[in-house]
Amino acid sequence: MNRLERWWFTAESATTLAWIRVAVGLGVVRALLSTWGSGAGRLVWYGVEDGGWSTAPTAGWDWLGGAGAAQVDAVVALTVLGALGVAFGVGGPWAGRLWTFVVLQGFLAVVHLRGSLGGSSDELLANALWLLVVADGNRTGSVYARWRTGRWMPPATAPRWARWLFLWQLVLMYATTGWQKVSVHWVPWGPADALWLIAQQPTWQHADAAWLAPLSPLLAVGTRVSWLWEVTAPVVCVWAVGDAAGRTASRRWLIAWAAVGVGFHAGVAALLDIGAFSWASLALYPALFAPGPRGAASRSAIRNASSSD
Amino acid sequence: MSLTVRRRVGTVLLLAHVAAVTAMALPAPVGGLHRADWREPTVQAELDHGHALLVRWGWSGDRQAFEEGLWKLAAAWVELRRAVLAPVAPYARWAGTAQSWRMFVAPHAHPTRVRLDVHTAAGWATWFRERDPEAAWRVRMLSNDRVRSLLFRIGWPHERATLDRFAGWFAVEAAAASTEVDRVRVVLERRATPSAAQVAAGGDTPWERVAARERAVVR
Repeated sequence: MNRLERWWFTAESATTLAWIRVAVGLGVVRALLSTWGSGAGRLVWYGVEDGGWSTAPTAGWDWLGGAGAAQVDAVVALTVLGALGVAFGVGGPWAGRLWTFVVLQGFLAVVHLRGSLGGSSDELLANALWLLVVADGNRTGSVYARWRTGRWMPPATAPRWARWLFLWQLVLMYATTGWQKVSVHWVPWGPADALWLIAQQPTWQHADAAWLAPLSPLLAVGTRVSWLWEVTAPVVCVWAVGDAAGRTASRRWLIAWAAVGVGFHAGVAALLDIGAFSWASLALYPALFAPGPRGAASRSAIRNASSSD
Repeated sequence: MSLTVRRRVGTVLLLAHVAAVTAMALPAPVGGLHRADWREPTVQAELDHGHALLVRWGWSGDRQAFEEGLWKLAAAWVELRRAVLAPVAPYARWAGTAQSWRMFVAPHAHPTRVRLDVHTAAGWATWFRERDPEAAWRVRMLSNDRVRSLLFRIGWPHERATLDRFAGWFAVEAAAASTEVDRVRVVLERRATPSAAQVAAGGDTPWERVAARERAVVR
């Protein structure tokens, strides 16, 4: 137990949590404002009487007097402002957590108005907010850190488990989506035309994508690589353990794996409109890497930061 | 409470949370068990491929038996998953930590697109068609990812009630947008996506109407 406990609570630089916090806060802002700015908020979140497409639910909104247009507008506006506060790191260890928890509740209340009309980005952002509630991400890179120390990025530490929870969420998402890609268009014994077919779907494409036809061999390679990359995602945990122990080979594998992921999400964002999913996924990528300088010097720096924290 | 005890209690709670969310991510065809959807060409083609693969591996059952067997297996799997998750599902709902990562599990080889038509004294006209720059009424709103999600869903047979409600919404919006409109129509079109080789050779596949809902405009 002691050995496991030591590993679990090892102090790491809190910078990783700060990056994740900023990206997740901005992701929530983007997820709500893009819907609002396009006018789609009225269609998907309002009840029929206010110009929406379906009856407004009341569960969870009773205490606000229902989910009418005024209430929905107010919750969206406050959640956007609150999410900016999350990004900037408002509040100390407990106030910051409470703030994030309130933003999480506002976000869930809005996107669950029509739960079926969101996407995986909503779920990923909500899960990340929840982890930020548990993990206290305001120790550095925050308004709170500036107020407390006079510096935006003071050296600060966080226990290792906080980063690992984000890493596990990322692995869980990629692996289980890969394991469910059993379509003949994805699996290695099929024609490898999944990315071609997805890019041609009017529902998700930005514009007509027939121009991709000459690039279909590249899309076939992309299909093979992304399927393999997803189904083998749990191996990331092994490399991350090695990286935390300072193994250079593990760090290289992680960099290569992350590079594929960044390329994958860049391609998705270029070809498809699936909301904030790519942003929300990439927001968790800092969790892949053990933070701070590497080697004995880094361990000493972290010990020093930890003892002064 | 000492720091060690506090840490241990916290760790146990955290690990319980991790175990719950991990269990919630268990793969299963949740939401995919609708007979009408299974009759769609995209699903039928997947089943054809699955059956052909099993036959190649020596299985002797016919195509119908394969589909029935797979249906029963999928239903049993969903039921088993529900039973396994029963203890943690309320927690996951309360915490808002959904883990349904069923993303593009099977590309839609026969996708639908939505067309919105209006009728005036001059006849029918198309105001909106997905990804058609010539029919781009309220295109920002209707191209938002949440609305795309709605338009994707109404393409599936089991979501026809959603199509009905969407047609009702369009009738109200069209009436507000133009006093000349007396009827509206939401049309679902579908086609088999042409292969890259077909497109490269200049070929295409036609869009066919698969469902429509017409509504009178009430003022």
